[in-house]
Formats: sequence, structure tokens, C-alpha cells
Amino acid sequence: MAKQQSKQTTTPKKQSPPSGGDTFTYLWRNAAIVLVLGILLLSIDRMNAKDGQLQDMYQEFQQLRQSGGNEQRMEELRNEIIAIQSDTSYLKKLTRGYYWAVHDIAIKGSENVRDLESKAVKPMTREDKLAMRIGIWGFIDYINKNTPKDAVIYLPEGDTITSNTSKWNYIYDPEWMQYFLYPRLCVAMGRESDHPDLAKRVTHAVIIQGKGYDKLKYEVPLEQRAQEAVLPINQPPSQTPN
Amino acid sequence: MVAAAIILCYLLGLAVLLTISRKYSLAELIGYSFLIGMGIETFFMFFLDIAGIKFSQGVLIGLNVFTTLALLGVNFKKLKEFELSPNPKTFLQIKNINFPAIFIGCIIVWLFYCVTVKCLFWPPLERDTFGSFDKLARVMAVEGKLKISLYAYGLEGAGGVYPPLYHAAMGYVYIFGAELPKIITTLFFLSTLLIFFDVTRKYIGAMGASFFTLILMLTPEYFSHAALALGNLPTTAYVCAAGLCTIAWLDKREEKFFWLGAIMMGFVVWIRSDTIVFTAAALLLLGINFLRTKDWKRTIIYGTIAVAPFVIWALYLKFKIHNVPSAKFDFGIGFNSERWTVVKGYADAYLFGGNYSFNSIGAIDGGQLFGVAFVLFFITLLINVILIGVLFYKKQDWKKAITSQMNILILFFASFVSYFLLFYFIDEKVQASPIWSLMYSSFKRGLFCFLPIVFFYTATSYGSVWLFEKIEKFRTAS
Repeated sequence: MAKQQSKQTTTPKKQSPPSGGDTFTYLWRNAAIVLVLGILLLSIDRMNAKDGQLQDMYQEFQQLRQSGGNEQRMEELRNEIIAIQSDTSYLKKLTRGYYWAVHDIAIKGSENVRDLESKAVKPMTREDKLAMRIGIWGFIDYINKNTPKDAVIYLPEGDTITSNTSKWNYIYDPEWMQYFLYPRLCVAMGRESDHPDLAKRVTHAVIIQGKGYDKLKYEVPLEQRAQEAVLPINQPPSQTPN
Repeated sequence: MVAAAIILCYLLGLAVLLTISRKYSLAELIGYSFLIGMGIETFFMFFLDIAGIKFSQGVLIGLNVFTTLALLGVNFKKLKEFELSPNPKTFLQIKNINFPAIFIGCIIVWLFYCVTVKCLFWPPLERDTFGSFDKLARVMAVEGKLKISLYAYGLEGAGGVYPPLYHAAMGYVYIFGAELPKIITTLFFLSTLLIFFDVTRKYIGAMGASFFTLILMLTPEYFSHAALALGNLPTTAYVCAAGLCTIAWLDKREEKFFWLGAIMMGFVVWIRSDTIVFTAAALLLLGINFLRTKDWKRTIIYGTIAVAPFVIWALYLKFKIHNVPSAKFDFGIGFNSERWTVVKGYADAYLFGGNYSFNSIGAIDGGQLFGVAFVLFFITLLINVILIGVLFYKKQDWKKAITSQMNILILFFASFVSYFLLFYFIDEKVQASPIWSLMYSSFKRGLFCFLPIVFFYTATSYGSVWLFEKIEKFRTAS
């Protein structure tokens, strides 16, 4: 079997290159293949170009609808969107992801980086970049600055307030928050049984949208209750954070 | 310092490569050096952890330099025999330049550059990497050990039970002062492309190999991971190298592929445990080979190298981490039609480019995610079956046609069926995720490992070999 396999799958014998006078032939033949390949790849790309613009068109349509703008343009966009969406050929279905990979991931992704770098007044740090992409980075930074390194922090419960909105990212998830809070430790309200050792050692509580004051062992007057804060569990801080 | 650490890693891999053989292409040297070097770095970190020695720049540099010099020293006399194959000097003649391959190569380089710019700019941002990989890596670099303090509180994340290769690789660059660890993603991606190209080139020539490397690289969902910090792309690098080297050894009997296949297969289970499905499939191939050749020595060597890291990590989890993920599966479910519908629905959509959603949630478009990858594989398979039927009808050599690509088919089907069953029997309660969610994310990302295998099958099929031979004849005017 091995013999048979190697016979079938061996590298095509290297063709001896044409002699000196045939260099031109060699070059034009290579060029012809390059041309065919280029046309093939470009055709696939062009075939999906409109699909790639679908999101932009949809956004433009939504903006026009909300602002009550140009009716004629809206009609054009509607027709174009319907035309693109109704083209559900199998070939297109299999190839449109490549357009996304090339244009959105590679080209737009790198252009976006160059754009950000050119606009930045100083070289961007990891923290600058995290602040751009993690919605609650500012709040996380505030927690870190207002708690000692050995703090054990109560995180808010993963209820409808926190988990149904992207505003709070995964603030209720101890495994996610631990990344930002280390060397501090954290435990989520309602999930104390997952981390019983930590639940006994909690030193601070995160307050969001005014919730979490019930975990404190002291009373905070209603008028002094901040909507977002991190507070010590056992005794009030010398200064209540805003 | 990060650059020095990466160079040390490459040199270490290179020293191992030169111990195995003295004849490599440039693509092989770059591709395999990193995978082997980084794999060994993580073994260093593992054994330092076992020995209770805190890993630091000094300790790691010392180990690197010592091991590299020791390997080169042992191998010193044979180093003179080293040769690059193909020799880059041959490309100085215009008629040895394969222009179509270079054209495709330029597209690959440009796309690689674009995605790398994006990858190296952004810090890790994915939920899984915050929850596990990057967290483990950062804390590992601070605490200088594998079993970081977070294990004591159950805050290590789901990736805490994964073998350490990926997060320890990120930890390695953090130890040497990296602000961001994603150079690791880029280098794993580079190795995958170079290795796939080089092994495929040995079967169908440079033009065909570069063409299939481009399609592999651009598989939409896979390509998007080249800018992320998740473990699936690095895992694919090892599965690609292990699978293709094993197949190349069985086909061509070239000694270096045996050792590369075995070592890489060992690293496959040193980066993820669920990739044991590939090790099992490879052992099946080795078993079949043993029945034919009775070469028990090689079978045992390969099996030992491939399985040992899995056993070592299982023991480490049991005795050091005290976390054995034993009840991960629920084999008691037997045939559950609801589970079957969901698992099969998602798998079909990924493989055949269809759409699927579970009760209107977790909707996927398989065509958008994997492009032509699996569809092309099944079309090629169908054509090959028809071809065999025709050969059988005409009483020609149909047996040869059946056996010619059997190894790669066994590797694919044995591993895929195991992978499918792994998800079918998975215990949702232990995973704390519904099955649709696991199929929507984990299963999808795990399919990356099959991409080099299916593209290799397509590339080395009769039709492809015939087509690229014709084009090559035209190109060289012979």
C-alpha cells in the first residue's frame, strides 16, 4: 500500500526548464497563469462585493428612516438590500465569507489600527487600548485604585440589570473580573457557594445602579448613596467615593 | 528581551530539528522550529513547577542555552552535512522561479501582514481569554509557577484544566517583558501556513501548495482567529504538523517525518486534552501500519511520545491541582433524539455550508464560517468514489485508487466521529452550558483542527494532482 501511495502522491517530476532561447516563452506562460489566477480571485471578490456593503447600506437606511430623510434614496436602498438578500445561490453562500475575511478582518482591521495610531498623541499603552474596548474599564480602574491589593471584593449579582446590557460587560462574572482585579480576589453575590472560602473573607462590595448597599455592615444615608462605588464591608471609608 | 526570548525558542527548536535530520527546506526550519521550541519551553516551565523552582528570565535562558548547546554538541560532527532543500541559490536563475506560486505567496504575505497588524495592536479582548488563557499567563509570569494562587479559590477559569502549552507560551513572553502576548498567535499562524505549504508541496508542487495554503488561510472563521488570543488556532498548528507529518511518513517513509509526527502528536495533547481524538486516530493508523510492517519498535516509540504528555497532565491535575474532570460526559443518555438533532444540525451546517439555529437562538451560517473547506472535501470524496466505481466497472486498478488516500481519510473520519461523539455525550450540567451553546462556539472552533486535513486531502487527490501537473507542464513549456 505504501508503495502504491507514494506512486500516486509523489511530487510531479520537476520539469526541466526550457533552454536559454525559451526564456520568453517561459515568462509569458507564467504570466498567463498569474493572469488567470488574478482574474479568478478578483471575480470571486467582486461577486461578493455587494454582500460586503450590505451592513453599510442597512445602516444608511436606518439613519435615513430615523431622520425622515430622502425618500428616493431610501427606496433605492430598500430595493438593493432586497436584491442582495434574495440572491441565495450556494456558490455565493460559500464564498461571501472570504470577502468578509479579506475586506473586514484584514483590510479594515489594519486600516483601523493605522488610523488610531496616527490620531494618537502618544504611543498607546495596553491600558489605553483596553479603555477603548472594555466599556467598564474606567470603573474597573476606579475599583483597583480604591481597594488594597489584598482585598476580596463582592461583585454584583448577574441579574437583569447587569447581564442584559452590554454596558456592564461581565462585571458579575468572577472569572472574568479576576483578570482585571488581580492580585485582589473576587466573588459574585449569589454565587458564594462557588467560592465559600472567599465569601467568608469579603472586604469590599461593588455597588452598581444603587444596588449592593444591603451587603454593607453599616448604614449609608440615602442621600449619600452613590449609584456606582466600591465600599468596605465592615466600616465606612473615611471618604465616600463618588 | 521579548525578541531574544523568541529567538532562543527558535534556536532550541532548530537544535532539535538538526538532531532529527540534516536536510530541511527554509519553510520547514521556520515552521517546525517554533512549534518544537515553544513546546519544549512549556515543558521546562512544567518541570520547574514540579521541582518547586520559580521560573524567571535567568532560569529559562539558562535552560535554553544549556539544552540548545547540548543538542548541537551531541550532533556536532553531523552538522556539516546540513543542507537546505531546495537550495535558495537555485532561485537565482529566472527559469527556476515559479511565478504563479510567488504571486499567490505575495497575496498570502499581504493578508498575513494585515491580520498581524491588527493582532499585535489590540490586547487580548475575548471573554475566554480574560476568563482563562491570558489571566493564567499573566499571573503565571508574576508568580513564577504553573499552579498559580487562583487555583486555590477556583478562579482560574475553565482553561485551568487545559494542558499548559498555550497559556504557558503566553506566560513565556510575559516573563520576558512583553506588554501583549499576541505575538504567540502570529507565530503559531505562521508555522501552520509554512508547514501546510511545505508538506503539500512535496505532493503537488509549489503552485498547488500555495493555492491551497491561501484557501486554508482565508477560511473565514479561522482567519478571524489570527487576530485573537484564543487557543484553537495554536492547537490547529500542532494538529496540522502532527497529522501531515504522520501521513507523510506513512506515504514516503522519510525518517524525519516519523519523529516530527510523533513529537508534534505529543504536543497536540499538551495543548488541549480533547485533541486526544487526533492522537487516537493517528494510533489507529500506526496500528494498521504495524499489521503490515510488524514494526513494533516504531509503533511503541510513536505511541509513547504521542500519549505521554496526556498522561503526565492527567497525573498533574490529579495530584497537584486536585481537579480531575472525570464526569465530563454522560454516556447514560444513549440515543437522545433531541440531543442528536441539535448536534447533527450544527455539524451538518458547518460541514455543508447550511444554516441552523436552535429554537431561533444560536443561529449559524456554515457557508459564511467555513467557506468551501468541508464542501470541497466532500465533493472530492464523491468524485473519488465515482472514479473508483468507473475503474471497478472497467476492471482497472481500483484497489490502488482506494488505498492511495486511505490514511488521510482514516485520520479525518476516525477523529471527526470521535469529536462528534465527544460533544454528543458531553454533560451539559458539568459544562454549565446548554448543548446548543457548546455547538455554537466550542464545536465550531474545534473544527479548525480539521481544516489542514481536509485541504490536504483535496490538494493531494487525483483530480488536483492531475490538474496541477497539467498546469505545471504548460508553465514550464515542456
